Amino acid sequence: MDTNDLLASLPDVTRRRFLQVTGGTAGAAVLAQMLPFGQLAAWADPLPPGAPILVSVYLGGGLDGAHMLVPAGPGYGAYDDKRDNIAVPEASLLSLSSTENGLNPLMPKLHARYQAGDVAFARGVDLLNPSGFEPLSHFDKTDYVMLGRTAPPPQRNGVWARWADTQPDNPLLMATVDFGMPVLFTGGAKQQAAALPTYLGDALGANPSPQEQALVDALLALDADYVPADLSLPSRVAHAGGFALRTTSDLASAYPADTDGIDGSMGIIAALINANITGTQVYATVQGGYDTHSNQLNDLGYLFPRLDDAIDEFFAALVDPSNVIVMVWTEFGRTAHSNPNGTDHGKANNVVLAGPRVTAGLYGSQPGFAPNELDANGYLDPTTDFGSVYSELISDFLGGDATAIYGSAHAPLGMLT
Amino acid sequence: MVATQDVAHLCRRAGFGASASEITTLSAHPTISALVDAIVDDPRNISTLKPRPVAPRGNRDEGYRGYVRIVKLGRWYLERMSASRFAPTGTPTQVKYVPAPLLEKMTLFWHGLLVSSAQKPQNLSENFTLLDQHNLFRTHALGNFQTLLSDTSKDPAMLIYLDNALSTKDLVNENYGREVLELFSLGVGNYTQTDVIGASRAGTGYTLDSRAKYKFDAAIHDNTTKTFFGVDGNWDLTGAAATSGGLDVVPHLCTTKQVEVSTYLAKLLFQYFAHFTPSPATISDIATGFRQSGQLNIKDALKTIFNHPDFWSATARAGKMKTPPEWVAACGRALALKTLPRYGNGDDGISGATDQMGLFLFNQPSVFGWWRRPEPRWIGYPAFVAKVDAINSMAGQALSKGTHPVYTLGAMPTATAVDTVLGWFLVDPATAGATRTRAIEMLDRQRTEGVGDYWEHLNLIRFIALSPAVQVN
Repeated sequence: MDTNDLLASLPDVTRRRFLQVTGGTAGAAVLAQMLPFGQLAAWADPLPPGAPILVSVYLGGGLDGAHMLVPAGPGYGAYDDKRDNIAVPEASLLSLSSTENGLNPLMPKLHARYQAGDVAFARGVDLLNPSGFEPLSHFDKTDYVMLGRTAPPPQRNGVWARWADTQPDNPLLMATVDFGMPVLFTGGAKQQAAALPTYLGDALGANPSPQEQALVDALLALDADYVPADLSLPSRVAHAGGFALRTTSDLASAYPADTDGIDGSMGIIAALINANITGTQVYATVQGGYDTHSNQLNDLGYLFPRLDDAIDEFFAALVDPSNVIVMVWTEFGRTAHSNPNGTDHGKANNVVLAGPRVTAGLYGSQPGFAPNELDANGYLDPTTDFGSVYSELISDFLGGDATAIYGSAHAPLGMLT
Repeated sequence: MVATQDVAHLCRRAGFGASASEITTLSAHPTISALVDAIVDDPRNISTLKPRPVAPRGNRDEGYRGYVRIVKLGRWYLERMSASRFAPTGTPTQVKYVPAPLLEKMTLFWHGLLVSSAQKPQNLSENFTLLDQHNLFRTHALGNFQTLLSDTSKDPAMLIYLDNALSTKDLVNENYGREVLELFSLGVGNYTQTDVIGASRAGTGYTLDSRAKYKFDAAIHDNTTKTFFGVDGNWDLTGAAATSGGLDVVPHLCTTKQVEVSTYLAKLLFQYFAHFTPSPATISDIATGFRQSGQLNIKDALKTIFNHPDFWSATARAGKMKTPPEWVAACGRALALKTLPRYGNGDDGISGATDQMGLFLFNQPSVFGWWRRPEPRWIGYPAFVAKVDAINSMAGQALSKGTHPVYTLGAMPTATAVDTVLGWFLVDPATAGATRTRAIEMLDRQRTEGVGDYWEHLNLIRFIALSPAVQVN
């Protein structure tokens, strides 16, 4: 295929970028610069209508799930007994379909979406029967949840990296915003994920002046000097620069101005979904601050409304939200009992799914707070494996053989339409 | 004599590089071991410096003032890294006040390991504790680890960040008790939840007064029997209660558990200075050296690392990705900047710009710190974007002075100009490979296009600063 044939075969966006970067003087040497991953034509393809898009929102530090989805009715008394200094008053709870739980009143917008039929809560979620790692360590546990493994795996490839390995090549199939490169997306056979900036600043590729064009071209040429298979640090640094220059021009047209905080990160994701230029199907971002060993009421009083707003504004910003699901998760639950004004590391939490493809409701069983309902060590007793949530998202949403990708069979909870 | 390439390798890892004249001076040492002794035993490594950056007047918002304070502290710290020299010249008094590279680098190591962050303090008094913690790390950076960990356990910034200030005998908070074992001394797999609870109960009573100063409050200390590593007794955290009969958590870790602690820290230290994949044998060697005196003397660990064959191996020499502070220091040093950029109205600055690079001093996103991930955030697209912004500012500051050496480049042949700038960044042109080739091509093209001295110089500095030759070495 010569250069003209290749140009003719590229999608519009790709062709536009090709001409931008080459200045319209395409030649074999320049062509080599343009294909550092050998995947350019694929990653720029827009998603077809109806393609599923998952947005993973990690609540960093271990959310106290019982403070968001609060036990109610017969279960409230035991909950209140364990943590009377931080308990959410029962009368303030926002009602849900089951009297077993109420929603924290700091999340009225999520509640409205629940009532509209678009929010599901999986309860008592954890990695059941863990072994070979420290389930109360933030970092061990977060890794294992992102790996979707209950024991040390033969390969440290994250759940969505395994799913991505079954998909066509696209180095932007998965993308993070303000989340670095988590285990969730790494370790796969193919490099299918990129970390995106929270701001583009003066990034040269966005709008180089004529005087800067030589610099941009030199950095692109340096990128091309390293073959894609070279995973050495110098090669990766050169590729990061080339990738940035090549990508920023498109992103700059989509990025919103205000990109601070979780609403900013989700705003970037919404803008990219609307722009439909990257072919990304799984996004991930994070809202930190949930390690509430202390000051829980104040800290969650700050975080919950921002999360509530961010999710609501995210869906409101989407041109077509019909095939977008937001998955809110965290690494572990917290102790059933409170300490002076917070909670320590524990077990069993909730996963929240939101979006039109979700069937609203409460799924799984709510772990009880009564002494005879706690596990042998006094923790909330998990009832639902993370595998059930992941597997349902794979088989019934993103598409794929859930058992093969996840590595074990789990019955879906029925949260998706 | 020590080979100049060996001196350069040691100076890059034990500090932030060295100039050609420094390397010449240091290569006069008879052996690598003698050079290592000189660097580790440098009297400037004992610091009593007390930085006191203050927030600006005018804006009374405490959150804003707290943010400004840590940004200013971060810039002050980055400027010290940039100004550090292994072989400073001048009068004895002048030399005394030139920052010692290894002290700056070890202070950074402890800051990235024994984490406290500006994300937790609730007011300005609490925010101010981060400065005191920085002084603590400076004071003990190359000292005794038991002393460092004991003092850290009583440090107000740590008492705030990991909540031990709020822990009482009736309502125990497990945050510090867990992390002192998992992240600060032993690592996952070397303790149980029973030990976490024992350490947490032992730490009750270590709290703060109304001015956010450390105090021990016996009234809230659990003065009953706890279990810690299978031993039942009246455990204390560091001995403040004086009722433990010698059963104190931190001394116990650093003596009875000394093998485990030295092994855990040996791996992290080696990864910080050499490369990320040391063998078990290398880790064991470093740990043995660390505890050779019977105590955990940090200088012993450093000397063992810098004299170890794996520190000089092809893997270690193949290159290590500069952390954001190292990269900023390299740029500031290359451009001979006496101060690093302040952005906007002077309240923000270069340390704030390191946020998207993945290492925002004094503002860690979590207690996990910065040194454990094989995939740190400073490799990748967001970091590149932030580095473009930062080098734009730094190069712009340099070019704003007509007397800057950058203005001598215009009279040089292209290759000479490129090699000169590589030299400013402490890169040997002979090893710069594609970076040098592309830089020469770029400069030739710009001279042909006639873009002018300013753009020639600005682009050359930016290209080299962003290149693998500078970011990885």
